[in-house]
Amino acid sequence: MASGACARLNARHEGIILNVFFAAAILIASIASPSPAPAPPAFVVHIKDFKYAPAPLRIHVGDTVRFVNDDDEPHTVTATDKSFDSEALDTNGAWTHKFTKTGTYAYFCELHPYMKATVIVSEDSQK
Amino acid sequence: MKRTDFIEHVGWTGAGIAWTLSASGLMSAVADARGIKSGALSFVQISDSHIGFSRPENPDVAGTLAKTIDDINALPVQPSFVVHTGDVTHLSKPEQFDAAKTLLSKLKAPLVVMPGEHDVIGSPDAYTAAFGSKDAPKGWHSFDMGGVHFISLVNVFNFEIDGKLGQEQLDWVQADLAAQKASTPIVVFGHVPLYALYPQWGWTTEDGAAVLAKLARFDAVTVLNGHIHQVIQHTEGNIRFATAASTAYPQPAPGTAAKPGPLKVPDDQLLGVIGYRTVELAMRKAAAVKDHTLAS
Repeated sequence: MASGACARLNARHEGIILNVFFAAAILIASIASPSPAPAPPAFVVHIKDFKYAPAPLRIHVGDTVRFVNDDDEPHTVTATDKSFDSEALDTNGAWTHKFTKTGTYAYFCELHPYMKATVIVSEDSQK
Repeated sequence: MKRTDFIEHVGWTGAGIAWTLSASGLMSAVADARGIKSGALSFVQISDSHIGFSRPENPDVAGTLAKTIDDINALPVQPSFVVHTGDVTHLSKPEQFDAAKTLLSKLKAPLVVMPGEHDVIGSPDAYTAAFGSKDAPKGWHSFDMGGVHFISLVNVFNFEIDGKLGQEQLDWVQADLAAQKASTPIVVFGHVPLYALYPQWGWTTEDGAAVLAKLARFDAVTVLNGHIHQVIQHTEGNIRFATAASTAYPQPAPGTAAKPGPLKVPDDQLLGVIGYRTVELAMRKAAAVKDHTLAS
């Protein structure tokens, strides 16, 4: 699609567009480089108005969760048993964590400890 | 003979605390040696500087802390010390501590610091590297000055519900207070309010009541906290509480907003709602707790 657009432009501004075309081709090549990009997290927990949502979050072993702070105040995602800790997430800050074992993980915000939620991790459904 | 032996009676007069000395010369003699106005011991409280914060509620928290320091350095009588009751930084980052230390080093008076929860996010290591002291290996400590016993507490380590002191610190407080006479004026510092100011927003210390119970036998106790970015005064029996304004930005009054957090005021009003506090302990007079905005 991109090269088609360039081809149409090329027909109208042949000389100038040629360099742009090559630059675009290089850019496209680098974006589409064969190194596999990590799959985007299927699960997102938003932190808004001093609450984690969704909570509880039910996922399977191996799932990755992205926690995003939508508040003006910084927050953390800290396991009650300290097995994981995002440290400070400023406004719009995000932190991603992969859950590799089954269990119910209680977590809280170190800055506002009354903010609490859980992630419930069950056996991989595809096994 | 200890200085405290000269304090015969401490009682309430109106809204404040009166310090009455039996031997009139001693406190003033001590004060003179420290370069303070005769008969008075004074200190300054600052709090919640949140170095590293840059949102619209105050895009220049370093500038307002610098102005606070300039105002304190310009006081006609320099305080015996300046106490910072925590949240020196916003996100516990080493570079934020470095910036704060550079600013605070310009204070003419000695500095006493305790951490707020924003100073120990993840771990207390960056705070300890910046402000740790051999005199306070665990963070909490006490000292005596001008016949007054000062206690600096840490209620932001390992808390999971609200502010929390922990059993080790409670045991230390008990032993520390056991050595004091009931007539000795006590001043307690801590970041999070020690009483249940507004638990719905976490503005309380879970095990604070245990300390307050140990303070009950003293004639006069003053508890000074930060955390809530506004001045709220409160009295329970012999204990007088006062929270301090921030040097950075205000927060809503308890229950007046859906949640706590930075409160945006018109730009030209910010300096009127942040600042510092002077505390003067004078002989035979009510202790003067006076809050100063940066606009004044």
